[in-house]
Order: sequence, then structure tokens, then C-alpha cells
Amino acid sequence: MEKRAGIQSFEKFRYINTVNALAGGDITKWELILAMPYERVLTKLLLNKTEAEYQKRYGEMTAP
Amino acid sequence: MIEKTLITTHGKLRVKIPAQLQEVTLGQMMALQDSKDLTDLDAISILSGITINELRSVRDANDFVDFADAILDLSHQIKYLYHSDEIPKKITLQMDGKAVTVNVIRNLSVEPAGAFMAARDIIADEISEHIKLYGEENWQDYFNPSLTACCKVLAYYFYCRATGQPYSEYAAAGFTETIKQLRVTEALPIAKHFFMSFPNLSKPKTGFWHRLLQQWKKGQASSLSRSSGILTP
Repeated sequence: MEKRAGIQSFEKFRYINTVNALAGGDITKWELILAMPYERVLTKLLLNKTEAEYQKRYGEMTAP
Repeated sequence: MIEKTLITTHGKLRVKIPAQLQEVTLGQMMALQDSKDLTDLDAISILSGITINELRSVRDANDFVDFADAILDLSHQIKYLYHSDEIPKKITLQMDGKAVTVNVIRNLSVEPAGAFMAARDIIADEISEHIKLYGEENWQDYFNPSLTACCKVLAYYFYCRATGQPYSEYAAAGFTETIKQLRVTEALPIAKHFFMSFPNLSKPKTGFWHRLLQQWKKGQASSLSRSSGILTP
């Protein structure tokens, strides 16, 4: 579904995609994210992923 | 080093070039590799930092014979350029006329996150390009990263450590000019370490982080793509 919608067009932005997602789309926070220890950023990415997977499973279980 | 004073059409010219691979800088080696149809004079120019035009003003071409011999000897040593895995304990960088020493061996993590992600993209591109050309099977056995990519990765690795400045993506990218002054025999083993450790460019500091990393690796092991699966939940 994501591929059909053209998610690959974001690839050219490389790691800025990750930075932008972590900054909640707020460009003024990009520098803060870039200067953080990597383990902090990775932890947040893993947390986001876990939350998304949970929400997906929960949505599937509660769908009529 | 091999050093000679040569007679030119308008005076004298002091020419000095490395005689051993350990004396060649990363920048010099990059310039040698990037030059197509490299002549002895081109190589002498790159290794001495003297322009071709200045070298052409030397009266007797035979004066270059010793340098040409040294270059031939270097070319034999270059074959073993990628063979060394010995990471230096510390390196010294020249910044604004001052020598700055940075510990390496106990601090092999690319930090902070911006440096890590930029270095990771460079390495992923380089590995993908290699796999595209030579296939995925045993790719590590034949993989030699380009010196340009090595230089960029090292710039991200060293920028904050050497300057003591907060991370700046533009300044870190521009730090390649300082990295080029490193001796190639020091620079390559450090860069190779990161290429071979990909995607783990940062050493875990806590047990918690390490456990998370293990989980992440399980999910990412089959992909070299720079489009992270955890990017878009």
C-alpha cells in the first residue's frame, strides 16, 4: 500500500526523513535531534515502531 | 621522504615527496586515485604539492628520475593499502596551525546521532554499489571502500571529538579537508572498521541500549536499505 502511494519518493531525503519524523515535522528541532546521542534517538525510534505495531494489532483485533 | 633541489629556468625549486606509504596523506592518495592517465609528473605534483607548471620549469628532466623511482616503489606498496587492520591508538590532526591529538582505539563510536546517520548513509551507499557490481555473495571478502567515502565517514567520526564543537552537519561535512591531512595508513584502518561494523557504528554504553540494539538488528538484518523500517511506523 505504502509503495503504491509512492513512499519511495521520500528516499532522496535520506536520514532527514528520520530527523523530521522525530522532530514532529518541526524544522527548528532538527539541530536538536542531530546533536543527540545516537542511543537516545534509536531508543525513540524503537519505541515509535513498537507503538505503531501495537496500534496496528489493536486496530485489527477491534475491527468489526 | 625524498628531497632534492632542482634547477629551474628562473632559479631553484625544492621538491619533497614521500618515499614510504606511511608518509602519504589520505588527501594525496585520493588525488592519485582520482587522476586519470596519471603521469610521473602528475604524481610528483600531487605528492609534493607543487604545481605542474612549476615542475615543468625544471631545466633537466633527468632530475626527476629519483622521484619517478620512488613513485614506482610507492605504487607497489599501494597494492597492500587495504591489508592493514591495525587501528591507531590515537591520531593527530592539524587544525588552525595547532596539533590536536584524538584517542581512537577506545572510542570507536560515531556520535552524535547526526554524524551516525550521515556516516551510515555513506557506508550503505558504498556497500550497495559494490553489491550491485559484484553480487551479494561473500561481498565482505572483496569489498574495498573508496577513499572518498572513507574520508567522509572519518570526517563525521572525528568532527566533534577533534574540534570540541557541538555537531553541525555542514561543518562536519566540510571537515574532510582536515581529514585529508591524515596519513593514509592511519586513516584507512579506522574507516575500514566502520565499514565492516555496519550498521553498528556506535558502541553500546548501557545494557538497556544493547538489548534494544539486538532487537533492532533482528528486524533489520536482511536489509541494507537506508530507508529504515522504523522510520515510518
